[in-house]
Amino acid sequence: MAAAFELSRPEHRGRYEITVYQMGWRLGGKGASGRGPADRIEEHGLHLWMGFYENAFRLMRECYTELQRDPERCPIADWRDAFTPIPQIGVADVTADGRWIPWTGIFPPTAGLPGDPLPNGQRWTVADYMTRTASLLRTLFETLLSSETSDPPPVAETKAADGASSNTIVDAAARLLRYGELATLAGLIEGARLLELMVGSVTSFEENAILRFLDAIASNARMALESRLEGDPTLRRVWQVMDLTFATLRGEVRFRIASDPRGFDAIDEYDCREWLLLNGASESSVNSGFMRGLYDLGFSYEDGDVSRPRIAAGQALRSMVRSFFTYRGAFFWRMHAGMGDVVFAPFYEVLRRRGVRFAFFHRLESVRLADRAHLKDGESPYVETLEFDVQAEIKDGAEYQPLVDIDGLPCWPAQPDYTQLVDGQRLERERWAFESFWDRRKVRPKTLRVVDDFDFVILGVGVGAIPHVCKDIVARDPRWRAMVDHVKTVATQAFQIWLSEDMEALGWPGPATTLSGFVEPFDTWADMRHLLDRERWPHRPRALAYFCSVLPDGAGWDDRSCREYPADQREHVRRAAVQFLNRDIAHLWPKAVRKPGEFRWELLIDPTAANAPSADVKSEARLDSQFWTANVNPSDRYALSLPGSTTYRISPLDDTYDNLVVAGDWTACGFNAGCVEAAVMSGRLAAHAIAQSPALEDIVGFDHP
Amino acid sequence: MSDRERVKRPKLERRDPIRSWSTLFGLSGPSGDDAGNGAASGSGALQDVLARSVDLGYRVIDEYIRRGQQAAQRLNNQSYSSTAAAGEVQDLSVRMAQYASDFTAVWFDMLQAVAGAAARPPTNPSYSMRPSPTAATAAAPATTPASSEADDHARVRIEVVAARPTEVSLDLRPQAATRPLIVHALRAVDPDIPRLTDVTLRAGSAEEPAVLRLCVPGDQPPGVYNALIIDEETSRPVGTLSVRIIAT
Repeated sequence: MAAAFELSRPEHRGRYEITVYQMGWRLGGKGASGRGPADRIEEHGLHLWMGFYENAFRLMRECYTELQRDPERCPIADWRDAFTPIPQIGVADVTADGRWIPWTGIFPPTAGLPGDPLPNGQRWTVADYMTRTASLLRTLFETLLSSETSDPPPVAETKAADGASSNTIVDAAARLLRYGELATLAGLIEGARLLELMVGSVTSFEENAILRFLDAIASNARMALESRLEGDPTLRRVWQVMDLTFATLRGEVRFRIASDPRGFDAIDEYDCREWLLLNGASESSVNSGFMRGLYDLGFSYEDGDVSRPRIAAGQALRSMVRSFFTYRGAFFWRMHAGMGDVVFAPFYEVLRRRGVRFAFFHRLESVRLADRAHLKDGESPYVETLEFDVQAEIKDGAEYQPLVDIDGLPCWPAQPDYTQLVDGQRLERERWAFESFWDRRKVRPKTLRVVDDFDFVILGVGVGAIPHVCKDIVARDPRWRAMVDHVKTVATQAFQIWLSEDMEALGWPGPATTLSGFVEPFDTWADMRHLLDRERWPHRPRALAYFCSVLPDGAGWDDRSCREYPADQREHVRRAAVQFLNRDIAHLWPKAVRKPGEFRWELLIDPTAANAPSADVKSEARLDSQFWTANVNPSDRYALSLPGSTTYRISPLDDTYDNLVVAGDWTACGFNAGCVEAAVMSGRLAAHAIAQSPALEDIVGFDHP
Repeated sequence: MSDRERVKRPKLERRDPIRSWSTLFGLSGPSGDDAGNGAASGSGALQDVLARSVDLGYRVIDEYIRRGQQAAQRLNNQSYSSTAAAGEVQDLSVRMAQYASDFTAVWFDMLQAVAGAAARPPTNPSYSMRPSPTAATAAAPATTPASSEADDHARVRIEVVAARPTEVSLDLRPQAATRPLIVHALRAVDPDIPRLTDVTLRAGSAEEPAVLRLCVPGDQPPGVYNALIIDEETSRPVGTLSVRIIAT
């Protein structure tokens, strides 16, 4: 979509005729959503936008501006209607006795908004990030000092004198010792200030002196804090973040990242936790809720195995510094409808107005190269044909109209509109699964030929689909072979539940929260109550919760003949959700269970029930009325950033094949992680490869350490 | 296929992101990323950093000791007579002294780095070790010469005259021992406490170590006293001297 948006800009004066070929009835891929019963929003999973998604927000804002929706008629007319800051985020930590304790916090708003113009000549450097990291360290120290200052009661209040009990005296002395520790923390704050001065020009200083300085500060901090860590969970969490920060700074100096031409890529061979341990982080810190939350948000578990957390250290650091130090407005932004409604429907509408054509129900089967023997001297290889399966014909040769109106908002339905399809009733009766990799039914094949039907191809499928649709290229090109071997993907799972009691009644007080690092099989929870305004229930639910995580691969995950695989995995997700609600949810919502191990199933609201929510159905069968998904289609799988893998990614700017450009969050796009921002950056790069526009300098974050 | 010529893609100026601006501009090593950074780009700015660092360092040490004194004062005001309380006070004193000593060394690491950066043009970073802190404890009432050879570049003999146990920590930059040095009077945090003024530091030579002489008056209050050591020719700090007088 980003590439189409760039190439169809009015500035190009219609130079490019663009057709988007789309499997099934809706746009968005992993980001697609649909409206189900009661017009409830059904997503592939949880989608949040981070405050550093400069490219994504910029295009989104331009899209809404061009759309010019009428706010009187459409509830989401402006991008600020579509996105709002998330008030609270958190991670969960497990205690020694197996309890899960949430740790929530609020990131302060920052100046500006994502997508605002950046200062001319904006550059990011490792040295700058190190300065900011040191500043973060100081803030953490000051947080500690602040709590210490307000915590201990004045010593004078303790009337200790001759004859006082030894306990009283020891208590008083202990408080004094805390003053001593407080003095230490005050000193550490100053130390951190000095640290800022030093790392601000780190490359000018002798590195071993800096390392010793960091080590000395860290050892002082440990001395002051360790004795209290066991009995003070809050302090322990703060310390873990500090410990990780120390290790990061130390590693950046040791590995000389500031002066390495590869930037953070220089340490991509290491797993992030491994690299932090190498640089002095403690085991407890790298296994903390904070770190697990980072891994969870990126589904960073090889083969979906939660015992194998892996992410390339360089990309992890790049993600962290962008997340923590360059966010604008808010750390996280949430959408006020489904991602399809908020993102892809507006893009669809704008692109249609610009003359872009959409060919729905076209499943790409093969990208074929021209025979080498037919290449002229010096001519680069190129794509000669694109082979599709046409999944359905539109009645009267008309254009398929994919959107439905829900209270003035154009939305994607969760099912195709069969009434527009030739023989639609039969297709519906036979349950054609248009988005399933395993359902190969078609009404006819279709082949597009270079020059006759296209000049350039932007291949926007997920990397998981590459081995299937690019067999020809993968067989001939060792680089593509290496890419599909090393850039691995993972399936994901998600479920959504609508509840008849609000979160406070369920035992979770406070504002809506997004929380990661929780217990498997669903490590991430988001309170999505704000979406209830967009849905149309006969009896409005009081709460809405999304859960997601990775999904381990089963046998046959890439075997197209294994037709029962999607249904099996879907059933696997359902069982996992049942177990999770019975066993684990009480850690977060203690009042959602009748007793340990027994979820109150009657809380779940059936959207098809004509009457008010009934407490009659108390069995897990009630879950059948909710929504869950196993995202196992190759193109839906999430692209990982495994250690040692990023170097195998292929760039949208790669010109090995003269008329073929790749696009997606799995490409070498400068930010090598699976996310909306990477997908948009990649799309903009793809447009640059064809039109030399936008300028690379205008793709925010492409030139970045 | 029609006879129309296939459209070719344009040639691009580059295909990879710029990960390091210093590499792009051919500035090998340290200064590239910080071309606009005041701390590295001019001696004036460096002096400013140095001055701020010195100021901050003293504030740190002062804060440590001030808070320690406050804590001890409060404890005394409570008229504790328990031996347990006395033990806690002793522990507290030791801890505070340790913190002060630790952080002094830490601060000086930084100071040394800044001073080192000021003294040389920005080049490729290179490792160099500073001498280990030299320490001597004098037992009263005697003159105790102590010689330390932390490495070939910093040989210092310490001579202390004191009536009470006194711990001396000397931290000196490499090769500074052969420079003409000035050591300032050692000061405590409390300005009302008299300074330790009877201190000299004579430069060494290729044959002879430098000699630090310190005389502690018998009525000098217990506590920690600190001083900077300055290179007489460059007026730059090259070390610190920390003296802890232990109550008996």
